Amino acid sequence: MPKTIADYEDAVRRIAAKHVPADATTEDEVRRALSGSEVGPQVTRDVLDGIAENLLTEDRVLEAIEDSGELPSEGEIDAIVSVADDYDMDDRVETVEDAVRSSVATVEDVQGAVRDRQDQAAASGRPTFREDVEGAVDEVAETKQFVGESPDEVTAEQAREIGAPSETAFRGAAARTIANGDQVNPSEVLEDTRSETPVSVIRDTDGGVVAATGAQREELGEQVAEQYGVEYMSAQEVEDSLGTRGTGDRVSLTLGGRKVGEVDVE
Amino acid sequence: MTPDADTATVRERIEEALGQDRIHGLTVTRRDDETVYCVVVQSTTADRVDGAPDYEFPVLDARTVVVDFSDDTVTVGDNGLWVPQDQDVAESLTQMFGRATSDLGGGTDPDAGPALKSAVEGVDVGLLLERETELPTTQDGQHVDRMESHGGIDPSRPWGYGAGPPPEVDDVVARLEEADLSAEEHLTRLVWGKKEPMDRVPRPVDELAGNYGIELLPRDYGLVALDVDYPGEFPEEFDLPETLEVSSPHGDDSRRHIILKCSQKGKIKEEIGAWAVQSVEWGDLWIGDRYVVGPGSQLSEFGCDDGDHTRGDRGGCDACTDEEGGFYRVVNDAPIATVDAETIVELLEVSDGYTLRERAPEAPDVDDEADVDEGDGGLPTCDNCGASYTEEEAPELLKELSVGGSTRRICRGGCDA
Repeated sequence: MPKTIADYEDAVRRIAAKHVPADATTEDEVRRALSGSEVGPQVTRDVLDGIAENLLTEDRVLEAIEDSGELPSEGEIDAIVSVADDYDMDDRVETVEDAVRSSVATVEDVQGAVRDRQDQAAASGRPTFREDVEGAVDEVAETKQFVGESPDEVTAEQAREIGAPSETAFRGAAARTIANGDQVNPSEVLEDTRSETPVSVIRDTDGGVVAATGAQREELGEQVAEQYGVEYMSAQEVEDSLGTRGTGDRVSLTLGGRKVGEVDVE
Repeated sequence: MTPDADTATVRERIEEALGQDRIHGLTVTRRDDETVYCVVVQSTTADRVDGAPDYEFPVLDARTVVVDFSDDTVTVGDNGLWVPQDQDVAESLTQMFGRATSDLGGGTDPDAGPALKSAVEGVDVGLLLERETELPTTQDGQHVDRMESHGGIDPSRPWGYGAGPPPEVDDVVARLEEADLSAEEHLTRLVWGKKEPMDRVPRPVDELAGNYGIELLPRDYGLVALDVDYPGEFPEEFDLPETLEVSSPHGDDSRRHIILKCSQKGKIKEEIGAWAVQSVEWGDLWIGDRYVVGPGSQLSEFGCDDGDHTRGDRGGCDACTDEEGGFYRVVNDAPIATVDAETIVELLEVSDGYTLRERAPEAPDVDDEADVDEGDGGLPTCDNCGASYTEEEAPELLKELSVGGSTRRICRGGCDA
């Protein structure tokens, strides 16, 4: 293989040190700086390209991050910049790392934004939904580019990481939980009523009763609930009280801290 | 220069750096602070000159040598000229430089033409320069002349000779979008009348011309293709979902490309060792760095590769020489089905001729592993901090990435994590 300029380490280092300013952090900027310097007329286009492609630049780091197939953490950016510097140019390491950090979204950026959304959801007394995660990722994407993974991929990962189902999936699971409650005939559990209009009893996955709902008359529902030692709740109250627990592709749907169903996280 | 010497003269350094047979001359051409540029003319052999043919024939080589006193280096530059080692050639060059000297010194009429010399007997430079040559007719970098002369593509087709892609591309775009894949990232241009790629650059539909390819792309989420060349060998009992299938002009419709989507292609890559092709008895599995020819594309006589016919030659098969034939066609028009990586691996395992897993220990993927530092004791090592991990830990604790074409490893999460 014929040697290229990249094989002449000292030459590349000296040329870059002399003719490439510290703030030229991209390949194009390096190429422009070299073309405009006294080196430009002395060397071929291939040599200029060779230097620009082999010198530590944002492009070189971004390509490496892209190749990793994952959004980087801040620590990983630091490590990638170091291993992408073939010519031991400490000054460039610092400026390129700063440039990459200010333009590339990191795991920490996303996690921080997601935590804010989780806090907001908790303050509103509801679970965190996938839409909250999407919002957090979009917020990061407004100021930084996603390299290695797309915003959609990061959203899906983060949603699984914190167990955030979509609001639609959550509402659907809630509706199924309410609709699938055991139908109890009040006359069978109360001595002083002949009402046979059923009341729905929601059980946890171990079979224990967690709440009663769906009575035609609230008073009757409360009496049935009292028999089971639980609270009577309207369907809306049940839905508002449901939460989630767990992480991964499928999380638990909880009521009063007890598991009453499951919901998929997509 | 003696091995024990602490110093050497610039002459000795240049002689050593060039390793020439004989230096004929040296001219200092430029000085920049402590850096001095020279041109040295030497006799050597072509195989010792970067960029010259790798044969030991004698050449004259004029080359820039850079002497830098700031760090005491002598570097042979790649700014050079090599010519046959011949007195007439050298004399012609001398005369040419003599004319340049005269021009630069103002001794020549500015309107005078260049000095023309030939150092080769029987080649008159005047006649050479005036001789007419035929320009190839190209369009978008493709040779229309050659295509017309070979036939097999109907120029009356609206997309003939590169006017645009065949209309079937619209169906492909719809199928890709239906599968949540960007058409723009997957479609590339092929050479007209052939299945060879133009440049493998993904393009929007309106930039396609003539035949086109559907890239599979070496990424975790995306397309895989089964190139079924020998349908009789395909495991009959294996149950694949109904999906888009495209046949080539050669053989019947059972010889086809089965196009599928998988969200964990990386797992298949792990199995077969690279984003590559896995050959089995029924044909090939393609997962990454390949493309399938898009339906509607048409092979011409010179693009035909059927049987013993060599692409580029005249006389392809009946289908490809027929202007109405030679098409890649959709033989199963269905949405691109999704399969998991395990299904594909299972298909390989039940296919005759699948031996990679048994072969793997003796034949690791050298390209993928060549640049990876295994560190002391052969353990995978972080190229940044030097931390070593066991083979079991490495996939989880080290992150692999490509920098300038070579593989590097860093601690996952960063070296301080």
